Formats: sequence, structure tokens, C-alpha cells
Amino acid sequence: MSESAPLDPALAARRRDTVLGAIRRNLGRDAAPPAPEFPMPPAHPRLAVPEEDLVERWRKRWEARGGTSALVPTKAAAVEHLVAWCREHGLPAPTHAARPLLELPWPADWHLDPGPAGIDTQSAVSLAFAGIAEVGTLAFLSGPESPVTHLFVPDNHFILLDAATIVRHFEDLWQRLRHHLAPAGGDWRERLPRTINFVAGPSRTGDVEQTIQLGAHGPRRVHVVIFQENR
Amino acid sequence: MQIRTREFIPRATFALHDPNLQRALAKAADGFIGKRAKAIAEVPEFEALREAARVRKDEILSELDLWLERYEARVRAVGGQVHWARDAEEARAIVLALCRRAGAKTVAKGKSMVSEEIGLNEALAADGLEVIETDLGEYIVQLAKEPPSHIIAPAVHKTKEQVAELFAEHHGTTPEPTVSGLVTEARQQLRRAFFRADVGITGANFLIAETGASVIVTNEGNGDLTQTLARVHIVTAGIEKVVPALEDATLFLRLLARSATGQDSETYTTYSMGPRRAGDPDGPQEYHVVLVDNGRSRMLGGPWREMLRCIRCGACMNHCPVYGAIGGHAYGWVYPGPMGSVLTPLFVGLDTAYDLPNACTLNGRCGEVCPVKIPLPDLIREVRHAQQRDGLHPPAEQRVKALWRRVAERPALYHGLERLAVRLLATLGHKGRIRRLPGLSGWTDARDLPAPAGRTFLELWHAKGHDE
Repeated sequence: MSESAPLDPALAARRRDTVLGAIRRNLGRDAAPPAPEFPMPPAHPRLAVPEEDLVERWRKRWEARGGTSALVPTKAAAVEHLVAWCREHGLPAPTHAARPLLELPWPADWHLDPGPAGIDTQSAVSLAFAGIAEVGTLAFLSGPESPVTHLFVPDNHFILLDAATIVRHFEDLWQRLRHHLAPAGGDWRERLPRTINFVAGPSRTGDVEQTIQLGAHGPRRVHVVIFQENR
Repeated sequence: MQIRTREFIPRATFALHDPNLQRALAKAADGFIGKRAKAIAEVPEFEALREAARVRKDEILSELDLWLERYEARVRAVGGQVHWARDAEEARAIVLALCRRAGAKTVAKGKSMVSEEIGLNEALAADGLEVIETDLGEYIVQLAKEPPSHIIAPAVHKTKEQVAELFAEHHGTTPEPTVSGLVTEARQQLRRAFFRADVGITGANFLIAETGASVIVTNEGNGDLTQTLARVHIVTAGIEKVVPALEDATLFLRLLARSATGQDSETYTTYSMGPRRAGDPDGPQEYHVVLVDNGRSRMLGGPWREMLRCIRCGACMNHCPVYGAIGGHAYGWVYPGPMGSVLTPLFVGLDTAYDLPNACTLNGRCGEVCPVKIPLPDLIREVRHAQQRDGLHPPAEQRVKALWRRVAERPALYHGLERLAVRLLATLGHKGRIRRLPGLSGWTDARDLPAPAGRTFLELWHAKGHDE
């Protein structure tokens, strides 16, 4: 077999037909069933989220996994809070931030790069797309304004979260996502980002003696500042 | 991965006498069982979720071809490529060809049971590639040149002292033998690997037909660094992983973390859809999915279809008293415990993996905790039936069973022998317990046998004035 043979299109097509054929044979039919209308979206059982105050529920769940959070009135107040937080905890000033955050009134000596994080990046600031109250997690959509490396490379990760974007269930997020990607109708799937990332706290591992240790590969400290100006 | 299922009995015996392993297993079982129970107690909807998951997965499997075709079309639409592999050899060849075409020297790997199943690491290494497992547990067993012993906690059998020795040997450093010291050491070593890797290989917990997404969950973030920093992202996934919609992934994810680690959510859940878009500051330039059949389509046809519901959470092994006593290595291949006792014989042969289903005590706990309600005890029994039909049971066992049948078919003989046996056993008892049974020390070494009352049930029944 030559080096590129496994990727040869004719061979690939034959393999595909063999696998699909084997599936059909074992399901006891000759061809794919007539395509049913996509049952969208399917309705599955949800978890009860009885809390009226989704911000409170979100924070409780988030902090149960080792993340920290603060509640401030405005985006500008979030900046002030972060500056104080870094000073108070002896943390290095962030060097990277999502592009939409660059316009905020950061201190003059914070030089924030909207590009990808590198191996030495210690600290970054991101803007969440949404929070999900059900389990207290955050959703991010990758793109020019939201580098994925900011979520995973730095030791310290700061996240701004708009309280108005906290939804009750994952199902609410999916509906919001579909609308967000195609606000004027059309096929939302044509505009999917490369990734949808959910971050539920600091990186952790239990792989050595089942003892939980934070900061396995991703951030050791994740601090979320919730601002309420749009609430 | 080398198949060592024929060594089940010597490996199990060895495991039972390994004090480090026994300590680790006891600790792990307590941790997993307790955490899961606590997580589920908080979710009154858990049973409804299990039932919905069972029904949904069966619906999907009955139209698997349709969902796979739709999934493939969406992956193409977002700029990715799908490769179909009929067996392990084809899957290896495809991944290897993709690595060669990319001019790769270093491959970073997130945890993928399918990649273990197809023996990917060995094939890549044999071709001169540097392959680095990045899940901390997988990394530890890779350094130790051992297979994983648990599907979600691969190094559960290692003590921190053993890990420190491995790191000292391979890194040339002297890490502090504390959990935090070891994790920091691994973090520094693996960080360089993530940035050096040309290709990142991950598994997939789910594939979503609606969006062409592959979904991974991790607590460490290793799968994300693996796929974000490499030029090429390759996903290896079994064909049974596909689900129709985002809401379906949500259904299964509500069950997965709680069943696996007792968390309400793992730290990171990532939906990946194709390569880097125009203007994206990071992410891979190529995105490939290798769909692996390797016997799965055949399982759709027989009594084994239900096994394809498995979402690889590990709850069955965490609750299995046999796994809890001997650990994962004794099972001799990728999939240990109850799910492995069904899957392994189907993948490697009823004959080759003969002992696995026969080690089961049929206590039923695995079936009770399975988040997608796979009737594991029934399937294990079904594997035994298939072995019986193929004449695989050892001759001695066949003779004993034939003898048993001859006796059981003759009530007078049966009751006569029974009367003799209960009287004999009663004389061996002391205070109602039999502590040692000649010829059956394997049983009585670890536990007592209740001594019979000295008379059979029928004798006692008649003595109470009941009729025949």
C-alpha cells in the first residue's frame, strides 16, 4: 500500500459504502430510510431550576467547583474590580483580552493584546457569550473577537459576564445561539463558529490518587465578574 | 494494544496480591460510588433522564445510517473531512497517512478509548512519530508503558510515590512526591508538548448530525490544548457516537458527568466544528474525523445492539465487585469491567476473551447504575450462551454440567443426594458457619459459607405438615 493510498478518494468512497451497507444490512433494510423531517428541537427532560434569581444560582454552582466570582453594576466597575483583585491577590496584570473589551477604561500600564495566547501568557480577560444557571457554567463562541487559547493557556483567567445573558437551561442557550447566528432568519448552521466552549471553573485533575488538584493544564484561577448594566 | 485477555486468571491472581493496587482500588471505589450517589441525589429527574436516554439512543441506532450521512454532510459544510474505517487497520492507516501528509513529527493526544482500541499509539510510534498522551492519567501509564486500567481514570492503580519515580526517570527532575508537586511537574512538561505538536488527536463523546460537531468533555483542558494548538486536528470516533441535535448532546451530558465522576458538569465541554475560520486568531488549519466501525455495524444486527448505547462513563466498573477486586489490567484489553466483559469478547473473539464474562457474579449492580439502561447482566449472560453454543466452555465444566443435568432430571436421585449433602455440610459447620471447605478454598479463604440446617427444604416443609 503506497503512502497516500488510505486517503485515495475512490478507496475512501468504497470504505464509506461498505460501512453504510453493513449498517443497513444489520438493520435489516436495503437503503437509507426516507428522510424524516428533522424533529427540531427534540424535547428531553430538563433539570428543575426553581430559583427565581438565576445570577445567584449561577454563582452558587460556579463557586462549588472552585471558581470565584463578583457582582458589579457596570462594565466600567468590572474593570475597577479586576484591577483591585489583581493587586489584592498579587496576580500579574493580564496581557491578553478579547477585542470587544479593549475599549474599556483599563489602567494605562495594562497593555492588552487581542491575539492568541502564547506559551508564556500568564493572564487573559475574556467576555462570555452566556452563562447557564442549571450547572453554573459559561459558554464562549470562538472567532476573531474571542481567541480559544485565552480560555486554556493562561494561569489566570478573568471573565466578564453580562448578567442579562444568563439562561436557565442548556436548551435556552441552544435556542439563543440559533437566533444569534441568524437573527434575520436563514440557515444558522452556515455561520457556526469553529468551537463552542463551555468553561465550568478552573482546570482540575483527580488522576493522582483521586485527589482533586486545580490547574492541571488550563487556568488554576478563574475569576468571573458579572456586570448588571443590561439587566 | 496487545490483547492479553487469555491471561485473565494469572493477572487477576497477581492483582489480588498487589497491596498498592488493592489500596488504590479501595480508595477509588469509595470515591466514585460516593460522589455519584451524591450527585444523583440532587437530581430527582435522574430516572426520567435515563429512560429518555435509553429511548433516544435506540431511536438513533435504528436509523444510524441516516444520522451518519447527515453528520458527514455537515462536517463537509463546515470545512472538515470525514474518513470511514471498516476496521482497526484501516483506521490506523488513515491517521498515519494524515500525519505523514502534514509532515508531522509530534502528535499530542487527548484521551480516546477508540484510539486505544485501534492500537493507534503503537502504529504512530512505529512510524517514527513522537506521540504524547496529554491526559495526566494517560501520560502516567504511557511513561510506565502500561495500558490504562480504568476508562476515565487510567492511572487509578498508581500511588503518588510510583508517579514521582516515573517522572524522575523520564524527566530527569526530582518532583516533590505530593499530588500538587506532581501535577505541576506534568503541567510544565506537557505544556511544551502542546505547543510543539503538529497534529492533535482527540476522541469524541458525541458527534452531532445537526451541526457536524464533535464533542469532548475534560476536566484538565488537555483535549482543548491538543486540538487548538496543533495545525491538524484529527478526531477518532466510533460510528455509534452520533446524535441528531444539540439538545440530544445535552440529554446525554446531563447523565455522563454525574455517572462518571459525580460532577454536575466536567470543567470543559467543547463542540468543535471544522478548521479555523477566516479571521480566527487560533485553531487548527485542518479538521478530520475518522469514523471507526471495527465490528460495531455487526453489533447492530444481533442481541448486542443495546451495548452500542454505551456512553463510556465507567459507572458499571466503579460499581462492579469483581473490577473492584482485580482492577482494569486483569481484563487484558481496552475495555474492563462489565462493559468490557460484553465488548471485549465481541471485538477480540468469544474464545480469546473467554474468562471475562465468566468472572461475573451476576450481582446486577452494573445494570442498575448504567445511565443508558444497558441490561449488562443479561448481555453478559448472553455472551456466555454464545460461548456455550460455540462449544467454548472447558471440557471439565461441560462434564460437570452434563452430570448435573442427569441428576436434576431424576428427582429421587436429586433429593437423595441433596439429603446427603446437607447432612455432610452441617457436620463441617461451626456456630452456623463453614470456615474451610476442602477443595473450595478459593471461596472460603475470603469468606465463610453459611452451614445448612442439616435437613433439606422439602424435609422441613413436610415436617410442618404440608403436602407434597
